[in-house]
Amino acid sequence: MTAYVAGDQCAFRELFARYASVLARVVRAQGASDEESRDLVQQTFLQLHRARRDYRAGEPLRPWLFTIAYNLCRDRWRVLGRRREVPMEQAPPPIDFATPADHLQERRRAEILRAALATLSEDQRRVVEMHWFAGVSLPEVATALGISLSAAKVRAHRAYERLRQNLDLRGEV
Amino acid sequence: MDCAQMRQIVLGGGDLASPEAQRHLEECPACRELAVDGGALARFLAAVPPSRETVPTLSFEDLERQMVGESGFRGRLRSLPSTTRWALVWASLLVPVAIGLAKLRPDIAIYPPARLGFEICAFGGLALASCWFWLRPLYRAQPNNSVLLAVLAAGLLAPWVIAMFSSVDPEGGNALGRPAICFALGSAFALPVIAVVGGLGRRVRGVLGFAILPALAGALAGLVGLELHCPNSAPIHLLTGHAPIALVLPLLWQLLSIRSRA
Repeated sequence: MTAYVAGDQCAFRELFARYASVLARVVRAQGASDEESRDLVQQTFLQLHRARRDYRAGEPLRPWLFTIAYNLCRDRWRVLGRRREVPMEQAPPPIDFATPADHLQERRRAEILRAALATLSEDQRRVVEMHWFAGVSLPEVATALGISLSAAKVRAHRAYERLRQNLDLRGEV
Repeated sequence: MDCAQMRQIVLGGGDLASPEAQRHLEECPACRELAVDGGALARFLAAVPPSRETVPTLSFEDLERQMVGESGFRGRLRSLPSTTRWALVWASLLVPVAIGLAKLRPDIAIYPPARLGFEICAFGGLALASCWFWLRPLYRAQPNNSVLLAVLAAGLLAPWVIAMFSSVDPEGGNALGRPAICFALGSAFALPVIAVVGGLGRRVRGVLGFAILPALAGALAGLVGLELHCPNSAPIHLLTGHAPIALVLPLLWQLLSIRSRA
């Protein structure tokens, strides 16, 4: 990002290559369709471009990107007058060399997880999406959500605790 | 040790009793929860297939096409650093104030200073709040939508409420005065503010009412200028010449926004 702010245009392409997929996944988890995801990711990078001169060298970039993406999702759903409640995988399982039994198991896990995530509050779900699925550290999660680190820790703790309680993990792993 | 390293230990069956792991678990309740029952939750989550198959094809060329407009004047304006954007906003907000002070109302010596102060603070504060919402970068957490709606409602209603409760009688002459002149003058005060604030906004769209924020800020700044300039404080004059500015300009701006989007 520092290189891009300094005027290196190729750096923006590199940023896109590095973060577009993970952003699309996060946006998709908010319930966006393929078309919406594509648009929202592009809008996220457009907003990053517009805000590039606010960036200070050394600042973590991921909280910026996630916050922009979440805010754009929020705006989009409000404009459309709806709240998406589909937090996880929607598409069929990937084609690979696993056995049909493995496919069924994977699909079942995804279904169970989707149901469990749906029981979380929106705030808690966001923390799980960022912390677990996108691999964002809790300090970065806190920055992205505009909350203190201790609030992020508490939110994550409660979210995982609730997930653990709602998932019947015996015999699943 | 960070959460990612702890995740590797939990998933890989590493030593959770090591001093480093214990220290992290003490500090991080999230990882503590993930490590309960031998990391059952972490292993369940890790076993769910990644959702890469649901990620749509993303093209940098599409993004580049969208960014063509960013090299123009408007694009350069909204890409300015936030400190510069706010400096420009402050400068534009001070224009109506400066004109109002230069052409100060003749009854300034007898007009209740507390009332004048309240009116200017109310209009000025709401104008600043409107700018704050409009300019708030998207990489920052956004305030609750109800706060925005409250500011919008207050900005639209305050001029009418203040006009209705205006109890100071004008000194002789026609109480109605020339409201059209004040309306035109207030709108003229507002225009530079609307142009500057509107041009500096980075967001494509927002929640209901978000689009009118620049016009509302401009209208309220125009009312500050009028408060400093116009000596007629009769309710009928304020209701017909001043307050409509905060309704007509946002409405026109909204219509223009809809038209430009179409």
